[in-house]
Amino acid sequence: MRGAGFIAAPFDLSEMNHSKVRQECAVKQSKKGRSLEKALLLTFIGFGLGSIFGLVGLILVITFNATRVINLAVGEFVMIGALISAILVKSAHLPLAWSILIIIVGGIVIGVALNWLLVSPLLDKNVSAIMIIIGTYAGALIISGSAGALTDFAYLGTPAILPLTSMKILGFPVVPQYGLCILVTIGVMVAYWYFLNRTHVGWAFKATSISRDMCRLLGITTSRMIALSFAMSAGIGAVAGLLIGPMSSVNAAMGFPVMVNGFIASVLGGMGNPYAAVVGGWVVGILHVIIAGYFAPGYAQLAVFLLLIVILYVRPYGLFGVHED
Amino acid sequence: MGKKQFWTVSVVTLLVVIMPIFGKYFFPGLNRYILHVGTFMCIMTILSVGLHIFFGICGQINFGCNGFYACGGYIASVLMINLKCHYFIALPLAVIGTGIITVLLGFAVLRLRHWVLALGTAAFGFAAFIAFRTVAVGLLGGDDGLFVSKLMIFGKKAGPSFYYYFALAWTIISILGSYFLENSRAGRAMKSIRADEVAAQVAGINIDHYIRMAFLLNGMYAGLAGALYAQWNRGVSPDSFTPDIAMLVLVYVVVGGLGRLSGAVIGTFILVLLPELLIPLKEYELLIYAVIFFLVIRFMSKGFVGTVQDFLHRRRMVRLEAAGQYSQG
Amino acid sequence: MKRLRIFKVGIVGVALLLLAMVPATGLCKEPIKIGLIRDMTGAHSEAGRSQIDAQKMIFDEINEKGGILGHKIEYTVGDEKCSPDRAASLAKRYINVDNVLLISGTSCSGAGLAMMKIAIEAEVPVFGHAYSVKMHEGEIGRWYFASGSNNDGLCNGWLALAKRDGFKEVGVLWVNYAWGRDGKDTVYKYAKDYGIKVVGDVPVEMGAAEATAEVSKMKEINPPAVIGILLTKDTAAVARGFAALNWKPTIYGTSTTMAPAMRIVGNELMEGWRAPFICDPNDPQVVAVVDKFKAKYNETPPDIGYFMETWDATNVLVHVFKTMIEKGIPLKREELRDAMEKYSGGVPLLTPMPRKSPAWAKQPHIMIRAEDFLPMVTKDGQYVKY
Repeated sequence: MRGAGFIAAPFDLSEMNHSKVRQECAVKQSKKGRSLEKALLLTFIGFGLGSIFGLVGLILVITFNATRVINLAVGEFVMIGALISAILVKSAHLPLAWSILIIIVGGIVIGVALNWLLVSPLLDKNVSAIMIIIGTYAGALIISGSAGALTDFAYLGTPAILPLTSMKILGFPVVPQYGLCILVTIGVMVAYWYFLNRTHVGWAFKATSISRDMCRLLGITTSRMIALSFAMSAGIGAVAGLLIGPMSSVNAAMGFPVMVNGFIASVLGGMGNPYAAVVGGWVVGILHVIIAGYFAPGYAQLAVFLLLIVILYVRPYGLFGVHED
Repeated sequence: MGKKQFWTVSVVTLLVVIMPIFGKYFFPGLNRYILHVGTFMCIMTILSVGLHIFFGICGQINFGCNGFYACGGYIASVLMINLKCHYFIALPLAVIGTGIITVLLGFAVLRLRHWVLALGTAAFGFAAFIAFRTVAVGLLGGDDGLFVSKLMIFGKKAGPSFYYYFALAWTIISILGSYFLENSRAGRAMKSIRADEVAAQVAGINIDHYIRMAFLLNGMYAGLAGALYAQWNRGVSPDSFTPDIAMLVLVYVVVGGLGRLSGAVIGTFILVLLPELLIPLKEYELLIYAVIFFLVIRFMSKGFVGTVQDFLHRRRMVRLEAAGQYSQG
Repeated sequence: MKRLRIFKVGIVGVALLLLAMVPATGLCKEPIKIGLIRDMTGAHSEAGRSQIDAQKMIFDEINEKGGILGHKIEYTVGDEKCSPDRAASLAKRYINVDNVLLISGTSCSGAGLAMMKIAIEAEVPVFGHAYSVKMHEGEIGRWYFASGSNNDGLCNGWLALAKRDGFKEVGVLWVNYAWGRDGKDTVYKYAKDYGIKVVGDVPVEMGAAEATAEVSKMKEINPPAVIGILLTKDTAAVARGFAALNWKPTIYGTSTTMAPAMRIVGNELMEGWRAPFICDPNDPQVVAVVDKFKAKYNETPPDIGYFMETWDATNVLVHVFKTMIEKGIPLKREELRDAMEKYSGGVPLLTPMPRKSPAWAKQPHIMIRAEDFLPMVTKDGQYVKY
């Protein structure tokens, strides 16, 4: 599917005449209209990108709430999703629906394995949280190292589900693939809320994050809840990988920067609040794109970090955070 | 420190000092390589001990050590290149300069605790890395970094042995510094902050003061490591100060044994040596390293030092019990 | 019985003695030791792996045929992971412990400089690929021999192509990294020589997934043509940016990053990108070499450009070794350095093709000039000469 105006004419070098092309560009809308369009488009892209950061932040918070451990391997869950989608859709030419299923199952397997092999045993032994966190970092290295060994750390292509060219919906410029990310993220948030507040399992899950010991007394199998948290975290992460694939360059080493962005999103929102993590992600995404587009292209990451320090100075517990012991 | 520990430490220190002198005559090529790795190990140990002060003793998270490390290295390099300072003057100035930067950063981030402090310091680490790559390219060399000329001592070029002993001396000083800090009044205050901040405050300890002190020490230690690195490496470049290094130093401290000075030192020793030993494995090096790392965390969850101590303690208990039973029977 | 035993031991002893004397007789020739230090798993892994692939193929082939006039090549491969500390440590190990004659590497500039410092101190010649002209100057230049063109050559290639296509104004999108910044400055430096004006430049965040914001800044400047000094991820991101903005000026990229970028974003988004190539990937001679590699190792080199460039340069190196051995020059480091300057000429190259290599003696040590580049454009995922 091609967006309007994107290389519609057949490719012919001999007609390339620079003065002609320049005039065509100039004939377009007035300057003011162009800059409003640019601002809206960039904001939309920021939302889209930020949705992925937010999703990663959300899955980080899910396991944090259940275990009080920051899982540094969340980036790898996303990477696995992206990698599997690249291999399945490109090489095996599987239809999309089957791919999504396989990706989610693959993610869940890895998440549950990480929990079973490392997190739960150490939690039972009452090991200090920072040790377990570093353990997840080791787990992340193993996951990315294995994937890298299998793929030679090559860059793989993931086809876009929706087009990457911008189009107008009701006068607003949107890029469909990014729109999909935003919709899926909101969908996940709603689904998670429903799960926590309207299902029995969700109530038990919520209780586990408040007090594990209390839950054990009440007869809730906390170990199963923790395993569930990892399964959800990894499953959603894998879907995020499927979405982020077409928007970035997929290879076995892509996990760490994704995790960092998710961590930033969740701390900015207020660690512990999954919905705030998504909002934090949006803030980071939009900041990033606006700074790159208007102020310091190429230095956007630096500016975002400096801004973060400022925001944290003003709100030390995150935007929505509450001082807890 | 017990008698046994004192002797172990002394013997190890002696070995570490004597070894290169023998090596030069028996295996010169390997010796030069060992000196190279050894010097790097010393620099990393200074970084770890610095983090240990802030994290192990005082209990606060610092994810941005690479930033201070970079500051030390760059300040030393710029002083030597632009102001033509001699290295022995540039080194202390770099440490002081890093200290100043640490204090300034402290105003911004030390209000924070836990994950937010982690993020704040990590933000500094990332920002410093990116800044050294992109800002003031003429002065700081951008991605290529800066070149520092050879160090001449009494007319002779400083060789690998000099750098090794120089770094080793500073490492010993740093370790002793941390050791005396731990047993001092300030150290006890910091330990109480780590144990329970609210209780410490109730007991009348000025939390902000001690946390700032620990942060400053952390920064200055890292600055020292950077300054040592700058001359040894004949220059600095941003790739030496990536945020990965901050994570790596944290791993050294925690996996060695969190809260223990010996943990930081031994953790650094083992985890710097391990990749060098794994080099012959080529493409599987990263994977095997990760697996070993994973297994250590899973089964030695108190860190190297903690687990070994537990093991020795248990063995002693078993022996005492057996002796007791024997004497009873 | 006892006498028989003594006799047997005696035979074995004499045999061992004779065997031990064989190396002294020169029947077993000393091996040529080479240390390869490249980025296999880090940011520039595509380049690094392709470079190793080319060298591996040539060295393995030579060893199968019994070595260069009897001298086998012993090579070790090290992964620098784009870290200067790693590269320095590996260089130290190869030079001091393994006693290599020559180092080949690296893939990343920071690592390269760190490694060069160690190599210069030990007086070991280095043979590698670096963008910066600095590597050819002064103390470093004496020991460094380039296996590919540097930024001077590449930027002149871009400008020559733009002039040939009739553009008088260009914009520059450059990755916020040493290579990108240096390239941008070099384009500004030489633009006047081609009658071209650089109307603006925009840095692009290195490794970012999103470059639409930066591309929109370039769209405001609105040049008719853009020179993209970008790495793989950034090329992909910029291509996506053009799509999002529905804007497509003529864009010039690098041959080495366009192929992997096409794998990432698909052929459609990379349609019409032009680049100065150092070899024509469709040329039967090039295809033959790549096919030979595929047949032998059952895999494809990630980047054909780096692969061919290193393949050519390594053939020149082998020619130098052969000449040294024929002339009876001892295989030592200082002699090798001088030999690399004197005897590297006269080898036919495929990149650029076809011409014979100039001697490495000419300063700066580059082998490719602007006029040697081939103008190519992407069409339906293939490269086509135009």
